[in-house]
Amino acid sequence: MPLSTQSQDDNDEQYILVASLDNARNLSNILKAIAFKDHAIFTATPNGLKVTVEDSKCLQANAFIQVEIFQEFTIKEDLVGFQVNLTVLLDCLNIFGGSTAPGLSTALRMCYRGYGYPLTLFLEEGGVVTVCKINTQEPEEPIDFDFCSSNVINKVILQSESLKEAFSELDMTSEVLQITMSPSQPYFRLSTFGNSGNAHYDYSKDSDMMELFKCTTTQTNRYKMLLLKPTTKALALSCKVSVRTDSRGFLSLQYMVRNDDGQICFVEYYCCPDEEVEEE
Amino acid sequence: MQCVVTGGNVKVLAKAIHSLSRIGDELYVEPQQDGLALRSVNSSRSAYACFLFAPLFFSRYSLPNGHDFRCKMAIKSVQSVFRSLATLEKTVEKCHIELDEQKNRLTFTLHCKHGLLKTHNLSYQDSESLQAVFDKEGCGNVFRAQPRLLVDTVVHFPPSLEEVSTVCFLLSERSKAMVTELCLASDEFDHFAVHAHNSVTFCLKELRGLLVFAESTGLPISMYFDEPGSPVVLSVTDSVLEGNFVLATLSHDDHSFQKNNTKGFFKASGNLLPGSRKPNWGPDPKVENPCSST
Repeated sequence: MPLSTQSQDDNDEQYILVASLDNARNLSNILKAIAFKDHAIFTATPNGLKVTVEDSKCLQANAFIQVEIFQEFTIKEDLVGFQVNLTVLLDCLNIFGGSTAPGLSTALRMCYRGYGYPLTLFLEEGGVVTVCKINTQEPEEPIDFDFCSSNVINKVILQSESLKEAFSELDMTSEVLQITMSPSQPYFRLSTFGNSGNAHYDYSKDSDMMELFKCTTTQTNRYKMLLLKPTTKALALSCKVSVRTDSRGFLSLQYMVRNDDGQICFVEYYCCPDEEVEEE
Repeated sequence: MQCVVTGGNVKVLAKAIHSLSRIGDELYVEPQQDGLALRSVNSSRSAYACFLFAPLFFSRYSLPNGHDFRCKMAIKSVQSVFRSLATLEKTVEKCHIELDEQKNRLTFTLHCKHGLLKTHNLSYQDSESLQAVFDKEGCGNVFRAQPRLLVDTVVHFPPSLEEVSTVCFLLSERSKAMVTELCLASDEFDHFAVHAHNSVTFCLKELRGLLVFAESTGLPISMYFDEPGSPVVLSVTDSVLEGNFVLATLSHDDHSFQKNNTKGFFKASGNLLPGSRKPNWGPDPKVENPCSST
């Protein structure tokens, strides 16, 4: 589609979704936290945008950018869904080089005409406009992990600072990361079993890093280390993280991320347990 | 065995371990009456290092009950306990080292700020005694310098360089392509007692490990050496610790500089350890070795 000389309003009539941001980083930064696979499912509702990335039916990441974050958010249907190549999208969002010079940011206008049409990005920085059109695909149905609050057995909320340290030191020769949550010692424990031995990182429930501690039953679950590795990107961006496990041992990690303008967005990860583990 | 290290000493211990990792792949641990000995040796047995931490270095030091104990473990595993040196000082309040002979495990527990506890259970292997025989006091030449002086000197040599020669006041590099020489006047040293005009050649790579340690702790380095073929000993000491790096030197017969491996590098003079090939050094050394058990 050539650059149109028609007025803005006429163009907009065709789109079922128009979302604008003065600072494209408020979208690209949060998408980087879930960009561990090439493809992402975009789901837009009047509440905002949800972007989902999945891995081998065992891991799912969701980034939520609520409607209040956008400078403009117009949606003509109850639900708009499509799938795009996330790597390509991120490259486009950073097309002006992604510099962090103060006062200079890339503005974004994201437009979608509907099923079968590409996703159109209008990017502007310093008076220069770039138009990108990315092919969309039929959106796959995101897995429903059936993780609901009523099934949650254990929950903690930690300040990300301390978890960042632990995650950066995790023994990557361990195939699994074991998470133990308990109303008694060790309260919250991350364990690895690597080539040289095992390691445990224990967070006391009285730690000043522990904002919330609600553990009712001792649970020990193992998750494949490779599956959890992508979560470190979300952890790096976040200020707080909530860790929850349900009766099946499914893990929910929710990260609170502050964007450039101080607004809060959420990224969540769901992960299946590796195997049944007897309590040690 | 139970050792507790607190405060700034945790970082010193970590740096010593990192420094030993420049020598060999395995860490030999031996708790002794006079302190905890941590040692390492390279694969060709031509470089040996030992750090002895006196009981006073620890806030608590107790030996295994009634028997001698020694073990070895992959040094990388121990390094992973003290991963980010920069944050160690700020976050670690104390380090507890405990031996579990039943499970063949050495447990390192780091008590950190904010109620975080890091526990590393590392498996070890029983090992033979690792002690080099050397005599510092009997060496003909010695000098002592602030670490900064040697670090600033060594920085002029390319990082890939294998060996360096020390002539009493001359440091030079021998390679096929280039010869680099650096002269240091005797007054640049804290102490300079040289009795014979001599040149000894040893491996620079192994020296760097000690330099990093000395620089971070601010301790002066003493260097003891004799004639070519005799090992050179580099030493750092303070009231609670002593580090000795013993490096073999090329003897008169070895003139060639073999770049590609350390195994063939030290020929006649290579072997420092008792029981291995007879070393090519002069008069019988006195057995005065601070790192050996009495």
